[in-house]
Amino acid sequence: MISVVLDMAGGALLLLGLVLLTISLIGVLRQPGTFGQLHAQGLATGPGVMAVLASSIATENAATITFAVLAIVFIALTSPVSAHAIARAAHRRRPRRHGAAPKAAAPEGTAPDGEPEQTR
Amino acid sequence: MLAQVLRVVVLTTIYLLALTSLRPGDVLVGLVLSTVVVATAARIRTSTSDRGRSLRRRLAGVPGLIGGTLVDLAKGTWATTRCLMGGGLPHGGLVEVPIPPSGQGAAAAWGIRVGFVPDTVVVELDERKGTMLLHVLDARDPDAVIADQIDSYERRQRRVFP
Repeated sequence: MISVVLDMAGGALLLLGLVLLTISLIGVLRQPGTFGQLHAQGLATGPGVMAVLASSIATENAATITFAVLAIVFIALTSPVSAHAIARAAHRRRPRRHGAAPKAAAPEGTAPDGEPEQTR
Repeated sequence: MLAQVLRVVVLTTIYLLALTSLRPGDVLVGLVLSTVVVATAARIRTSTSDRGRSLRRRLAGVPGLIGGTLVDLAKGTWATTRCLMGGGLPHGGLVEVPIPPSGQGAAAAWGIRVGFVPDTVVVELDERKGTMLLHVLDARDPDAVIADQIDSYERRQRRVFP
């Protein structure tokens, strides 16, 4: 009985993870700006991968589940840092309205990645 | 002292989980490595801001922190999915969130907790200025974003990383 429940939960988590990874991929391809793409990849590196790894409960193998849990913890701690590094670099490459001229040619008030600059 | 022992136990547990082994030799090596890491970290640590804080009180807040972060993750995932499958991010923008004066590591923990949720991206984190620059899906009402972030910090994180 418990095996059937774990199989179903594992299958559901795997399906959820794959759906989120697919949406993330579509988002990365469709979003024009770096920040939009970072939001999209956040779906993959956060809940998407976590759901796929959590589906390992269906294996009922302690070693596999342990590795999956460790991988989830590792991803939870490292993926925000990598996203922050990319976002910081993208933000620093943006042209400033007041100050030094941007290195990349871009319309006024527009970042090189096509996003309007709007700090609020 | 209790905190140091707890750190050694946690590190040893992670080591043994990574090895998936409970052999006495592995346990011994794990204990030695963990003790060295904890002792070194204790010597390097200069701030004493956390000393007076109750470890038990902080540990009691961990389930709330993890549970609250998972709730934020679910909400953020839903919001991001709707945006990506809809018309994109027409109202996306940067919002500067003030960070209240806090202890060592609190700002970093805040950044990781917020950055883990897909609907917010941490762009800059400046402990000296006490600000965190976020990119959010909907920046039309920055005051609401700031209030949400402060509320989230107060309810989920403050007990563990004050």
